[in-house]
Order: sequence, then structure tokens, then C-alpha cells
Amino acid sequence: MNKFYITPFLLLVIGLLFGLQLNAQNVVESYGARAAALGNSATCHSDAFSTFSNQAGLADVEEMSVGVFGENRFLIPDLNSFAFGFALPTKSGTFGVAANYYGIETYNTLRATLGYGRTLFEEKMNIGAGFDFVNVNVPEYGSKAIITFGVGVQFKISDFMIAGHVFNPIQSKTTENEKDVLSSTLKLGISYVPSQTVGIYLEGVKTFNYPASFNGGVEYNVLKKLELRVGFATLPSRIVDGRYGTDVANLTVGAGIILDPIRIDIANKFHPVLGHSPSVSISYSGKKKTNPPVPTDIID
Amino acid sequence: MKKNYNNNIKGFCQCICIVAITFLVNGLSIYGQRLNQNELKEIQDIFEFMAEEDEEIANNDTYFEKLVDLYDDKVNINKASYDDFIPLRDALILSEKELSSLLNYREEVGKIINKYELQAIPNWDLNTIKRALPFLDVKGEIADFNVTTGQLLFGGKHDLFVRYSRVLSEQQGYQLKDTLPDGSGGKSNYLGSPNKLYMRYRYKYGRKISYGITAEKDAGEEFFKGTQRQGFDYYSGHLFIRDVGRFKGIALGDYRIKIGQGLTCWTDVSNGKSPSIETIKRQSDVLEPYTSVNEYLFFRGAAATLRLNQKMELTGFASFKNVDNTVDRDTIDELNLEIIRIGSIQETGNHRTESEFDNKGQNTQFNAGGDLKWENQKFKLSFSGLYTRFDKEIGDNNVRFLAPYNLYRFSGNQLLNLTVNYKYSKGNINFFGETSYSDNLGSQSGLATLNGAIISMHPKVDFSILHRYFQPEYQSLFSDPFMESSTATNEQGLFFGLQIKPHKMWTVQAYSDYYTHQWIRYRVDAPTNGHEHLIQLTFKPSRTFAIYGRFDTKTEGNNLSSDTEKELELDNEIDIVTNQRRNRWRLDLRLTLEKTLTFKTRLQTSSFENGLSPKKRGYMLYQDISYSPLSFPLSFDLRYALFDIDAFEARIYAYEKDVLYAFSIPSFNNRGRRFYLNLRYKLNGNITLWARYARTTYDNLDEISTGNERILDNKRTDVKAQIRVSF
Repeated sequence: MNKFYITPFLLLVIGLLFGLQLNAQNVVESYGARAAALGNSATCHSDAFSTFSNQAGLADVEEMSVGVFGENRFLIPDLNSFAFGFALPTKSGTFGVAANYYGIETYNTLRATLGYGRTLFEEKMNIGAGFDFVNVNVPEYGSKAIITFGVGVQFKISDFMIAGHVFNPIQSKTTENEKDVLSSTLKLGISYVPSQTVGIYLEGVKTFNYPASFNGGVEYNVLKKLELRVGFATLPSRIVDGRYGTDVANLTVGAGIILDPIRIDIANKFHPVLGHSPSVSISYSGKKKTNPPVPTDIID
Repeated sequence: MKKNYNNNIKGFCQCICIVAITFLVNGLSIYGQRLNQNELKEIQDIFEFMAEEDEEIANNDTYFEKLVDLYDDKVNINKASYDDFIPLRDALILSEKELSSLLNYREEVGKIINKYELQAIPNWDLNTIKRALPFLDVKGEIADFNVTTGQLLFGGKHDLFVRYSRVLSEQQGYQLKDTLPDGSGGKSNYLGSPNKLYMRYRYKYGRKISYGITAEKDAGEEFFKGTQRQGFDYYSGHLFIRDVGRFKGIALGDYRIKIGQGLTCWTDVSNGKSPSIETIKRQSDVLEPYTSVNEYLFFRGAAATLRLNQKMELTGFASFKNVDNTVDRDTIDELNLEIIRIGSIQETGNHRTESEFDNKGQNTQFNAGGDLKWENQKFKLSFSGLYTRFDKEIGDNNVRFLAPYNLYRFSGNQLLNLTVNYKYSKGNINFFGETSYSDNLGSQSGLATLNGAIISMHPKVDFSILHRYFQPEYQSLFSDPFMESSTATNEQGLFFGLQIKPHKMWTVQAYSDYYTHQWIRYRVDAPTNGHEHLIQLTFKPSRTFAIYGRFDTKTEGNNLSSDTEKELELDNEIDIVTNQRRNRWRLDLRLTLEKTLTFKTRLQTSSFENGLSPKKRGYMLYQDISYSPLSFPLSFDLRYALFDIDAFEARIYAYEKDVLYAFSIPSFNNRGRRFYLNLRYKLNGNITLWARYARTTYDNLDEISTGNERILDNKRTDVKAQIRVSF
């Protein structure tokens, strides 16, 4: 590969990093492959990755859970993201740890978060908070570490849940330049889960200085051990004078294989211009407290 | 004591509920039985409900008729088999889920004793009952027929319609040419008068036999003179008989063929994207009578469906008809050579000018095909084929067929389509699909496939998903599957829809569709992709009041319009393709008083962005008032609408009520007002009269339309009158 070809390739990579990835969110979203298949609408979820998506969700994690996640973007070898999440319920709430590494040697980010979530008002409401360490490393320019935080809330109203989360409300600066900030991100989500077999999620995400996007998805327990999912994530761009709009939407699909206590989730995001981004996560969750079976025969 | 008190309260509530339901259901049926006119009103309400859901239905003059047919020939709820319910399912009155719930209920519980019991069927709510009850015979009073041939042929229902309509405002095409600068002595561009005439006679005996004739003269066509010595420009006739020996149906004259999911052949208007879940699936009998006035989309000849055994049916058909085709002749005198250029098939059926008339019947089309179907309650598989042959080669010597966007378009004189389609129900999932192969028996062959599923995930949640892939090389002449484009070619897409009823008063409906076009298209000079999303929230606290809000957004690649190019002072040889976004909002409110007076208010807004020029916006507000008294023969509908719309791309569509069997959803642009009034008068049991007056006034235009349709005024006025005689 000669220089002539490398330059546009690098431009593409940088474009993807800054233009697209950071467009929707200023930190890399990695909420596991279940969330990925639902357009990353995870504000109402409760699992090992809730430390990243919404710490309030940790409150509903009933058993010790751990998950690992890997994602490749657009089938480009260098664009990989890895994450792990861990949640430990205790009598005084659930504690969580999560970390994410994204990028290559010449450009990478690391995010590590400590989270805590607990339930209030007879389990009608969950609250949570997380402390984040975000490090951006570009060896030729140096690296910058930021300490910031996020808080979240979830309300349960019959089969619905309404949830909100704010990440980095202080808009920490990343360089000496006033304009280089890690943008605050505000998420507002709603879910409808009428039974254990169906879940519907929708959320709006506003990252400051970027247009709002909408994510959503549906998951369905089609067989006892198989869940299927489909979702979307809009990636609107600001239409600027003299430039053509690039408003597109990601289409996401995925499946979950439940082999208690392990579950494997796979997902693929499809971007109409850039192509496929497959991901996989493997989670372990301690044995669930099983409720005694309801004697349905007697009711009949 | 306290327990007793609670029981009393509970009992009282139950009583109230039962009384309310009884009143409701009773109210409906009394309403239905009173008068023919009210029956029609009831069907009209159902139709309107459907048309609101899917506006393409509103353009379908036969859908309403189908409802009337079904009304006339009710399905016996206790005796009918799965097959007998299929017409109700096809007309979207019952969903597959509701139908299978009914059949399961009947199997488990036994006969349904009265209409109140319908409430007990799982998945049937009041809306289902309201929709389905007029088409069901719950009492079992309808006798099986055992009638003489004479009765069958003449003892049924005769129905005659005559409709007249015209644009009152003077249009350029009707002006005499000598009043124009290029005058050539007393002739106008349009040969005939601006009157439009439509006539239809139809006879029916239940669903058993139907025959009739339809004739139409479009505005601008001559009538009983000049080019039209035979009177009307278009005639259609049909004879259709059901259930004769082993024949399920026999058709002579004009008929429709509808196969599978419409990838190969679907000669009817069909549903597109809509908030309702079921509409993504096509379902119909293969063979149906044709009674419409679309001058192209039908077959003419003979067809029959034969029952081979309980599960297998074989349909065969053959058709031969003249079609309109543009034909240009050039002579090169020196070589004594005539060059004939054959253009495309003209489907409009308009023969108003000399050149339009010259295209009339210039080509012939022969179609033959068949369908072999195997079906039981859970599974259906069918194989079909369609062969089409033209007398003259389409696109011969025609330079337009060499344009890149026409690279894969059908040309030549024959086409073969072979197709396989299936339906399969497993638990609460309904799968369906069709895969079709096309071959022009020359240079080009292609494949198209469409597969989907409708899933009842939960009693409150329904979900649909549909994937389609049509190769650019795929060709078809009568297809109409679920798609984004207007023809089934050059498209790949995934659609999913969702309907949630979290509470009996609330409904949420949403869909998303993602698609790509691999090859360039007419006025889209690049491969493009697009996506469309809709969400609708309905609140219906009672039968008399409903409110809904809808948001719909669509983004796709398109050429910049010529208006935008002018606006931006672009002087490009090459058209620029940009991603263009169109958003629409709608708020709709409906209130019925005393069962006779209905108020409907709607606010619609739209916006359009093309990425280069400023955002275009549109607003429309209208108020409808409908009055149909139960005991007085006169009823009316009126609308007053205001609109202010910046550009054609931000246009707003609004469904309008019309005289019976005529429907429209005009689109609005510019700034102005619209008014219409429909009157209906029921003279006696056999004769009903309709009249309509509609006027659009523009505040920012001095002239309306272009070419022959141009009106040198800011007002356009339409009138319509119709009579129906039934005996």
C-alpha cells in the first residue's frame, strides 16, 4: 500500500472516530450485545453493563453478574471495542464496575466506571450514580485523563418504565482550548415490558453540541432459550450550508441464547453507507431466586 | 356486612358493564337493520376507519364494494369453515389472530349463541366486534341456498349507478384554438366535452353469481361522435359464477388475478405501509370479478378455479386485450423507409386529444397463466406462472429505452414469470412470502423475493417484520407487492411494525422501514438509500370521542427538484442527489353527538429539507361536519380547510368523503382554502341521489395547473351528481 492510499484510509478512520462515533456520544457506547441489538437503548435495562448505561438499573440486578463484550465496527480490523461489566448486589444496594477500551495504538480511549444503584419507595423507583475515569490517548499528541460522573433514575409504572440518565453534566474540558470538551449526554428512555417474553424500548439521546438521536428496539422470547431482537438508532447530522446531509439510521438485529447461568448475545448494526458492525457478549449471572410455581390448574 | 357491601358494588359494576355492552352492541345492530341507507353508513364508517389507517384504500373504488358484498352475504359464525372466513380476513375485517381465536373458541366452547358472546372470544375487543358484526350472521337465519336457475339469474339484486362530474372552471384544453395565437380554426386540444360520465350496472345473487357492465367517458373524451362512435370510451363487462360442480369460480369477460404476495401479479389496489399490522400481508382468492374503471389493470377473457380435492385448487386463465401504446412513425423518403418507434404502454386510459387517441389500442397483450394451490388451516403453498406476449415490441427503436435508468426496464414482446408463495402459521407466528423469477426469453432474467412474519407477541403487543429483495433485473408487468418504489424492481428493504394496546383506551402504533436501491431510478441519478418511521398514539375513551397524534418522517436520496436548482441558481448539467427529509405531524380529533352529528378536526403540518436550500413548511387545518339522521332521508358532509404550504415537496394529503363509491385523497400545495359539500337524498327504498360541490381557492396563484388542464383563475370548482337505482 503506497502513501497515496494510506492517506484517505487514515482520513476515513479519523472521520469515523470523530465524525460518526463521537457524533452520537462522546464516549464509546458499550452496553453489551443485547443493548446493541436494540439500537443501544439501554437506559431502562438492568444487567452487568448498567454501570455504563444507567447506574439506576443496577438496583434491579438480583444476583452477582458479570459480562464481557466485544464489537468490531464496519468490519475494519482496527476499529474494535472491548468492555466488561460486573455487578454485585448487597443488602444496601448494588455495586458495579465496568471498563471499556476502544481504538488502536495510535488512538485509543479507556473508560472505567464505578457505579452504585439502589431501589426506593417499595421498588417503584431506582436511583444510581457512577464515577467515571475517561482517558484519551493519541501518542503523537499525548494523553488526557478526565474524572467525571453520571447519575440516573428509573421509575416503574405498571408495565412501563421511564428512565433518565445524565453523563458528565460538568462538560469537562479535554484540552486547554475552551471548545474541546467532553460533551454532556442526556438520555430519556421508556420501556414497555408486559411479560417476560416481550420488551419494547425507546429512547432519546441528546449529546450537547450534536443533534438529538432516537433509539429503540423490540425483543421477543421466541423459544425458551432464544430471544430475537430488532432495533434502530438514528444518527442525524446537522445539515450545514454547502454540505450534503448525511442523515442515516442504523438498523440493528440480534439474538440471545440463554444457557443458564450463562447467556450469549450477538448483534449486528447495519449502517447503510459504512456497513456491518457485529458484536458479541457473554454474561454470567448467579442463580435467580425462583418463585414457587403458581398452581394455574386450581385457578381454572 | 362489609363483604356483602363489596359484593354489591361488584355486582352493580358488572351490571353496568353488561348494560353498557348490551346497549353498545344492540345500538350497533339496530342501527344496522333500520334502513338501507344506514347500513351503507355503517359500512362507510368501517371503510373510513380503514381508509384512515391506510390511505391507499381510499383510492380503491372496489374495496368499498367488497365491503358491501360481504355485508350482503354475511358469514354464518357457527357454520362457516376457515375458508368461508377468508374473504373477511382478506378485507382486513378480521385479523389472522382474531380469526384463529374465533375458530379455537368455537372448537372448545361450541356454538356461539348470540352476539354478546363475541365478547368472550380471546383477542376480540369491542373494536373487533364493531368492525366484524355487520358482516357476521350470528343468529343463523340465512338459509342455505337451493334456488332455481331463473331465480339465480334474475331474482337477486340489481344495482345501477350513473355518475356525472365536471370541472366547472374553464380549462385551457377545451378552449377553441382560434382564440389562441396558434389558432387553426375552431378546434380545441381536447376533442370532447369536460363532462365525465360513469355508468355501472351490476347484478348479484349473494356471492353465487355476479354479472354487470361498466362504462366510462373521461373528461375531454368525445361521446357518440368523432373518435368515439361507440359511445363511451371504455366498456367493461363481467360474468362470475361461484361453486358450480367442482368449479370454485368461473369468470368470463373481465376479471382480476391476485397471486401470493403480489410479486408477480396483483391486478388490484393494495396496501402499502400503514400503522396497522396486518396490512403488510397480501391475501386474496386468486380469481375475482372485475368491476372497476382502471383501463389497464385487468384481464379480459376467461378463467376458472377448479377444486381438485379438499386441499388443492387449480386456477387457469387466458386473456387477450388491446392496450394503449405510444407509436411514432418517421419516413425517410429517399430510402422509402418507414421507421416505427414503439414507446411505453400507456395506463391512464385517457383519450382526450388526437395524440392520446392515436395511441389507443396500438398494441395487443396476451396473457395466460395458472396457479396450483395446496392449503390447509396452517399451511399454504402455491406455484404459479404468468406468460405475457405483446404484438409489437415494446421499446423498439426508442431512444428513451436506452437511458441508463431504463437499463433493466422491460422491453421486447414477451415475459415469463414463475413464482412460488407460501403461508405458514406456527403458534402465534404467521409466516408468509413469495419468490418470483422473471425471464424475458431473451437477454434478461431476474429474481425477487419477499418474506415476512406477523407475530402476536403478547395479547397487548403485535409485531410485524418484512424483508424484500428485488433484483434490478427482475421484471414484472402486473406486480404490486409491499414495497417503497412504484414497481417491484431494484429494491432491498426491511420493514418492521409494532402495535401496542397497553390499556383499552390507548393504542400505540409504529413502524420503521429501511431500504436501498442498487441502481439509479427515474429522476434519481445515483444508487440511494432511505428510511421511514411513523409513530401514532390514539386515545379513544368512548365510542363517540377519539383523538390521535401521528408523526411520520422519511429520509431518502433524490435529485434536487428543478425549483430548488432555480432557487439556488445552480446551472448544473448533472443533477445533484442529496438526502432529503420530509416530516409530517398530524393531530386528529373526532366527536360524535347523538349518533347523527360528527365533528372532525385535523391539524397537519409538514416540513421538507434537501440539505441545500432553506427548510420548506406546510400547514393545513380542516373542520368536517357530517350529519346523517336516522329517520330523515337527507344527509350531508361538509369540510372547510385552510392550507399554507411552501413547496410541492412539503405537500399535504387529505382524505375526502365523496359520493358513494367515489373516493379521493387530493394533495395540497400553495396557499388557500378548500370547501366541499356532499348531499345525499334517499328518494325511496330503491333510489338514492347524491350531489357534490367542491371548490379550492388559492391566495397566491393567478392560474392553476399547466398545459391542457390550466385554469386562468385562482379558483377551481368541481361538481358531481350521482343516482343509484337498486331493486
